[in-house]
Amino acid sequence: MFNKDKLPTNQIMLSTEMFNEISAVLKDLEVSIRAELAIFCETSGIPITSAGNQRAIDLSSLSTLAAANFAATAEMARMLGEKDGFRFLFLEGERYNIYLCNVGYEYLLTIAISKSIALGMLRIYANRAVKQLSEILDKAKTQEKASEAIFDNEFADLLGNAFDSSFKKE
Amino acid sequence: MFINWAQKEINLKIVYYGPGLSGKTTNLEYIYSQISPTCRGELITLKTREERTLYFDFLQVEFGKIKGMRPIFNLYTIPGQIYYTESRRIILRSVDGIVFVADSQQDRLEDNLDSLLDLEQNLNREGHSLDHFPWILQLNKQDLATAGSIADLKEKLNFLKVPTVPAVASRGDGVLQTLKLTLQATIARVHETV
Repeated sequence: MFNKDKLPTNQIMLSTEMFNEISAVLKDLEVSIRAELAIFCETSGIPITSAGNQRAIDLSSLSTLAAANFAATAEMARMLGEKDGFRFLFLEGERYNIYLCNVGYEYLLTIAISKSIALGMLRIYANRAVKQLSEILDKAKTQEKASEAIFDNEFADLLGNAFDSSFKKE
Repeated sequence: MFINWAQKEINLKIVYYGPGLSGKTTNLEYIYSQISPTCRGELITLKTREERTLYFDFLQVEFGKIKGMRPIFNLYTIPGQIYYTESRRIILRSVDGIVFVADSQQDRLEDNLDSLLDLEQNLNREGHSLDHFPWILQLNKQDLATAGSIADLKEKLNFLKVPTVPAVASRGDGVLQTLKLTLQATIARVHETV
């Protein structure tokens, strides 16, 4: 079907241990600068984990909108000939500010924070978190691919059945 | 693909690609309207005043636990307009499967081909290529009088012989079939790579 040798893999396997490490970095960031919310997501907005006061916030929606916002800055960077794009985006509100920055090529960190925290301090702690997260992700990339027998024919059949029962009849 | 063992989640990314106004957003809107509310998140659409997709549309769907894991499919559309190059590249990062929504109208053939070429170039940047990637060709707007014949469109657009679905997304024809085929092709490809 598909030529296995020519398939690059972009799979990230995050072990429980690494997930806990990432969660700990976010928690530490949240506590250090009293962030309202910190979300770590993939560049198109798929949330990986978060820390802080999530209340009734739909994390997927929020991180997707953050990703869209960051994508817009990438477009601006391209138009201006800024080769590596902009490193962070800062949104100023009445009560909260939002800070967005990329973590390597594939991830984003979104921090919602009280206006009382100075941008300089926020940047220092955000940069520290980015460095820690990058190190954890580098480890994840070198992990043995562990999806083993999950994606076998049985998985595909079960998914097909679940798909059919999730929709109204066409 | 992103697997989170701690939460038993498998995140897969499906991108709806194609020229502007081919019906990518309409596909997502129909899926959103038909799927059980317990299986979906919010449909996020960022449109301009002219109803054109600005950055992307997003819909998350899932179908419960399968073999102890929770597969989550993140569906994205790209902005079709030529000038949103960088947005398309960002959305294609870590993509696992693609639906190419072609506009079947005869005068859109060049736009379809341009978009396919753009897709191939952007996939190349990610280290992929259309001839070794799971994708489905949807021939949308088949109800219009100006639509080309399916045989003709297949000949001109489906040179890689991928599964093709004729569709009228505005009334849902072919939309779910397209999605199901794409999910199956994506899972099959993941199976091949591990």
